[in-house]
Amino acid sequence: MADREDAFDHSQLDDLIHSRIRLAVMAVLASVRRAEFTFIRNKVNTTDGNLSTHLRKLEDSGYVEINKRFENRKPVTDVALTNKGRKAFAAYVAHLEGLLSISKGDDA
Amino acid sequence: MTSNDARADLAYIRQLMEDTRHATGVSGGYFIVWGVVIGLGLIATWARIAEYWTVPPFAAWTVCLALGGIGTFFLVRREQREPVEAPAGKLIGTVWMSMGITMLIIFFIGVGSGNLGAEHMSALSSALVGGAVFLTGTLSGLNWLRNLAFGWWGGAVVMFAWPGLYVLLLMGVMLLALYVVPGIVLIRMNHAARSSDRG
Repeated sequence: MADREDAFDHSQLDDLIHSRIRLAVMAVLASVRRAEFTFIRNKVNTTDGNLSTHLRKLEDSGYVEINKRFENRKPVTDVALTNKGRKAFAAYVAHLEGLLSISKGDDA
Repeated sequence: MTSNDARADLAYIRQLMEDTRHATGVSGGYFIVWGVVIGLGLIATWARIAEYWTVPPFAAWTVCLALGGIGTFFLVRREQREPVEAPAGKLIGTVWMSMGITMLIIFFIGVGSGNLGAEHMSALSSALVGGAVFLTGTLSGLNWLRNLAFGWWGGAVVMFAWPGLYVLLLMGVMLLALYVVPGIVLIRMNHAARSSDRG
């Protein structure tokens, strides 16, 4: 069994999404059109600084789009997945599902 | 990565997506706004028939529907300022906006021209609200809400088939059971989801 599990080809997984926090951010954003920074922070249960760092990496890769605006004179940061980001997330999930179906096939 | 890791990651992703969808649940505001608006129109119609009031139903319904349109406009705007914007939320807003416009056209062109009797407004409102409730329930994934549409459509059939004064009473009961109560339930669900977010 251990041999079969070791046989997973994890090199095909997107390293950028594979980080726990970035995976969580992508999962939250995949369900919505856009979300505010504070909403994401509460959902993924992390700090402002940590989330900023991860968002910057996702933005640099073109997976998310970040817009800053003012609402009642308070700065608000909106984050949304780009088309590239949605495709990358869908591919990541499809790959995980693929791994599981291979595992089931082996078990049978 | 092992199959257990993959399974755990997928479960984590699904849980987060599910939680996020719950946090962006449908607003009960539309139900409250249209419940109040249609309720006021019914009271005005009843007051006219019972000769307590001299304002014609057409004028009263014009004011009520205009108020419904304004209320919906503000609800849609408020949703645009929510911390999160979901595709379903935008579609639901559009459904209620289109329902309001349809009702205005039927009322002004149909009733205003005299081709449609004002006594059929309750049945028409009921049928249209049933459609909006059905779509709202489907888009938000709330089956109990979607199924309430059958109550509205059943009421519309009864009101069209057997018109009479009792229609106002029936519509009042329907507004309470199929509109105000679900609206309160939705608002409570939203508050609960937001409280858990903050926690």
